[in-house]
Amino acid sequence: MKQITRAEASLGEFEQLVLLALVRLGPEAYGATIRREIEARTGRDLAISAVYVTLDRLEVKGLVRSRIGDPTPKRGGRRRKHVVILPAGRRAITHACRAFGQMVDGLGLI
Amino acid sequence: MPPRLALWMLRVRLSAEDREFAIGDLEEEFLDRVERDGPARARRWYWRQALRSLITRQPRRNQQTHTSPRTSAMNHFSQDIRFALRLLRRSPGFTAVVVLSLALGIGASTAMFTVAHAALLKPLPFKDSDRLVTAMNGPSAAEGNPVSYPQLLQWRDEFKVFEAQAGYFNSISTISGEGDPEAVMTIRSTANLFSTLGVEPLVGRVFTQAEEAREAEPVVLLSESIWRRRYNADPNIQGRRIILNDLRYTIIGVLPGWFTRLRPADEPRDLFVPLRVIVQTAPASLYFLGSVARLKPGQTAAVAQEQLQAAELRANPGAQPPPRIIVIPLRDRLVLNSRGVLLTLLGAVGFLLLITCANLANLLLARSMSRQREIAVRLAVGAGRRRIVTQLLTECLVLSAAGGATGICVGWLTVHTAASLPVLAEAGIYELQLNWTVVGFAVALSTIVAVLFGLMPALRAGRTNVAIDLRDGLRVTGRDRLRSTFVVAEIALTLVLLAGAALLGRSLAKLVDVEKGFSTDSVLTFTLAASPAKYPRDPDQIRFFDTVLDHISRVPGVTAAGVSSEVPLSGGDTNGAVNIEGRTFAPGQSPMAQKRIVSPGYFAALQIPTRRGRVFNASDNGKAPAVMVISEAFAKRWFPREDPIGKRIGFNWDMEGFQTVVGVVADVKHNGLDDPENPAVYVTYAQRVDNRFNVLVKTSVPPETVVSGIRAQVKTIDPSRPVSGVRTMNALMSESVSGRQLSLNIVGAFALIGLLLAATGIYGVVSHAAQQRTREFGIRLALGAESRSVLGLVFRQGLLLAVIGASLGLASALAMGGLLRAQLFGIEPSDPATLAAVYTGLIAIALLACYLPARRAVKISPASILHEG
Repeated sequence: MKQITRAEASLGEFEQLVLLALVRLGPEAYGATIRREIEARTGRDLAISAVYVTLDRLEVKGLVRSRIGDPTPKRGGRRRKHVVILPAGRRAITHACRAFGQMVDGLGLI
Repeated sequence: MPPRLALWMLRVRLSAEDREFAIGDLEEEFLDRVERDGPARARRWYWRQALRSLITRQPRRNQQTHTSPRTSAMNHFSQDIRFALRLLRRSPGFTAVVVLSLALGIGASTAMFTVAHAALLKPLPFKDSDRLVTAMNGPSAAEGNPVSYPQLLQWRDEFKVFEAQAGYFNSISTISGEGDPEAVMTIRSTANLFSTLGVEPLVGRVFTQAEEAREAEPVVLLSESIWRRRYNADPNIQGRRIILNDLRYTIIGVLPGWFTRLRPADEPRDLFVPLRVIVQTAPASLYFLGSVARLKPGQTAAVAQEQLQAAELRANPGAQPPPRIIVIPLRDRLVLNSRGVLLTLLGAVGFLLLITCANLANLLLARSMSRQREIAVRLAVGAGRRRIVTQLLTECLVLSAAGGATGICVGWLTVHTAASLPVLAEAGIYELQLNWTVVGFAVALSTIVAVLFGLMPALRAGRTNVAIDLRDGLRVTGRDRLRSTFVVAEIALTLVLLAGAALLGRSLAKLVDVEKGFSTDSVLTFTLAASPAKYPRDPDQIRFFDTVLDHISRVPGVTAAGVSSEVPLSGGDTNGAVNIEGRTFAPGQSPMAQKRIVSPGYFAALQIPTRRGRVFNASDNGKAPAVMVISEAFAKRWFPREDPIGKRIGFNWDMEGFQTVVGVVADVKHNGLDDPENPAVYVTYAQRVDNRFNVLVKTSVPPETVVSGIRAQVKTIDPSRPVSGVRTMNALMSESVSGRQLSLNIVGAFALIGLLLAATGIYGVVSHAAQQRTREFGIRLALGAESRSVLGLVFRQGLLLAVIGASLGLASALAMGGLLRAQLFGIEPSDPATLAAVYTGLIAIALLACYLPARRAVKISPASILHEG
C-alpha cells in the first residue's frame, strides 16, 4: 500500500463530505450536484461558495482535478466545472473512513 | 430570473476563478427550484445563498498572484461581520439592551413623527390644496363661527381674490321607500362645492348652478360607500330615484371614496344635496354655513382676510365690538384642535430619542472600557490601527443596523395600529404611511451616536501608550466623567418627561371630576325624526314625540326619558342671539346663548340640577303662556343683581315675541369637560317643535340592555322611522377626553421608558466606579471602616448624579412648562406638589439603582483583596 501523504491524512470534515460526494456522483460531479448531494444526504443547508472553497483546497492538495465543460443555456451561457477524484483523493477518503470506522467499531453508536 | 442584488453580491464575493461556475450552478438550481417550489421560495433560497457567501471564509492565497484589492477588502469585511456577530452573541445582555433601546427610540419617534407630519404638513387630498382657505366670523381662528348666506353671496360675487367660494352645512336625511329606513349623514352645499375643491365624480356628474335654486328638481350625489352598500355599485345609478325626508330626489352621480367630509371632526357623509336656500329663508342673522374658497394663484389668505374684513366693516359701520373675519388655510383649520396634542407628543418623542442616544452612548462607552485591553493586545502584536478601526466600525454598524431594523418594525406596527385611532381622524389624517425620511433621520442619528462612541477605544488607542493599557487595564477618569455626563442628561430628560406625564395625568383626573352640570351614568341617547309626510303639522310632530316618550318610559328599566335638540359632548352645538324685553343692544352686541329645545323629561334624564324656580312640565303646552328656562351663567351675565324669574326673553328662531323665564338650571359643559360656563336658554318642544330630536333615556339597569325594547316601541309607532346613533353618555364622555387620554398614555409610556434607561445608566456608572474602587474599599474595611460608611461612599456618587440631573431637569421643566399649558386643565405647569413629587420620586429610583453596586461593595472580603494586592 502506498504511503499516505500529509495532505491526504489531514482532511477536514467538510473535505471528507465533498470527497464522498465525488465518489458517489462519479462523472456527474460538478458544483450544483455536489452541493445538492451533500444537502440531500446530510440535511445541511449548504452555501455554494463553501463547496467551491473546499474544491479549490482539495485541488491544491492534489486530491481532485477539475475540467471545464461547455456553456449551457440553462446556466445563462455559463460553463460547468466538472470535478473528478484522483487516486490520491480516493486513498485519503478511504483512509479517513477506515480510521473513523475503527474508532466507532463496537461503541454501538450507529 | 434570480434577484439581481443577490447576484451582484455573489459576483463581488466569489473568487474570480470560481465565479462563473458557482453562479452558473446557482442559476441552474434556481430554475429547478422555481419549477419545484415556486418563484418566491426559489428567490428566498437564492438570497440565502448570496448572504451565506458573504460569511464563507475565503482561503488565504498568495497575495501577488490571486487577490484583487476588492476581494481583500471584502474578505476583511466579512471577517469583521463574522467577528462582530460572534462578539454580540457572546454578550447577549448588552446586545439586547442596545437593540431594544434603539428599537424603542427609533420606533416611537418615527411613528409619532409620521402622525404629526401627516397632520401638520401633509397636503390635503384636494387638488392644489394649498390654495384652499376657509373664511369665518371671528373672534379668533380657534373660535371661528359659521358664515351667513348673504355673506357668502357677497364674498363670492364681490371679491377677486377668490377663484371660487362655496358654502355647506351638515345635516341628516332619512332614506325611506325601498329597503330599510336609514338615517344618513348629509352635506347640503352650494352647487360649486365640488369645483371649488376640485373633486371629480366617480360616476355621473356634479350639481349645476340651476340646481341650487329652491324650485329646481331635487337631485342628490351618493358617496362611494353608500353606492356600494345600498345600490350594490350599480353602474347605471344615474337617474334612479331615492326618497329623502319624504321627498323624491334623482340620483345624478357618485363621488370618489376618499371624499366623505370637509371637516375631519365630522362623521363621514353619505349624501350630498344642493343647498336650495334663498336669502329669504336664510336671513343675514342666521350663521350656519361652513365656507371653503379657492384662492386665485398668487393670492394669500392674509390678503383675502384684509379685503373681507374691510368690506364687513363698511357694511356694519360703528358696530361694537367691530365684526371680525378670519381667513385661514383649510389645512390649518383642520388641525387646529389637535395641534397642541400633536406638538406635545412630538416633544415627548424628541426627548425619548435624546434619552435613547444618551443611553446608547453610555452603553458603548462602558463597553469600550472592557475592550481597551483587547485592543492594546492586538496593537502590541502588530495589528494595524486602520484594521482595528474598521473592525470596531463594523461592530457599531451591525449593532445599529439590528437596532434600526427592529425600530422600523416597531414604528411600522405602531403606525398601523395608530391609523385606526379616532383622534387621528379628528386631526384630518386621511391616510397614514410610515415616513421614510424620518426613519432615515432617526436611524442615521442613532448610527452616528453608535459610531462615535463605539470607535472610542480605537481612537483612544491611537493616542495612548500601548504599554500602559497592557499593564493596568486602563485609567478611565476622563471617560467616567463623560459617562456621568450622559447619565445626568438622561436623568434630566427623564424628569421633564415624568413631569409632563404627571401634569397631564393630574389634568385628566381633575377634568373627569369636574362639575359638568349633568350626569352621564346610565344614560342612553339616540336620534329620531318624525316623518314630515305622516306628521306634517306642528301638533302632529308634538304628538309623535309625546307618544314616543310615553312608550319608551314604559320599557322596563327606564326611569326617565326626554328629548333635546342637542346632546352634550356629542360635538354638535347651536348658538344664536336672544333678546331681552325692555333692553336694546347695538348690532352685534345682543346676548348670545346656546339654544336648546327640550322636553320636560330632559332635565330629569341628565339630572341637571334646578337652581331656582322650576323646569318645564306637561302643562307648558301650545295653549299655555310661552316659557323659558335659562342657565346659571346666563342669569349671572344678564341679570346679575336681579331675580331672573319672570323676566321675558326672546328665543327667536321661529318663536314669536318673548318667553317668560320660569327657572334657572345648572350650567352644562356642552362642548367638552374643559368648556367654560356657557350661557344657555331652553324652550319646551311643546311650544317650539321640530321634526328631529335626540332622545335621552335614563335607566336603572345597564343602558345597553334597553335598546332592543326601545327599538320595538318605536316600531309600533312608525315602522319607517330609524332609531339611529345609539350611544351611551359615558361613551360620549370618554370619547371627549380620548385625545387627552392618548397624550397621557404616550407621554407616560415614554417617561417610563426614559426612567428605565436612566436607571440602568446610573446603575452602570455607579457599579463600574464601585468596581474600580474595590481595592480601596477592601483596604478601608480592613482598616476597620464600618460597612455603612462604604455604603455611603457608593450612594453618595449616585445621589450626586441624580440630584444634578434632576435639578437640571426641574429647571428645564419649569422653563418649558408654558408649552404644555394649553394641554393642562385646572393645574399650573409649575405646580409645586407635582414637580416635587416627580423630583423626589426620580431621586429615590436613582438611589434604588445604586443599591446593588453598594451591596456588592460592602460584601467585599478584605482578606481576598489584600491577598490579590
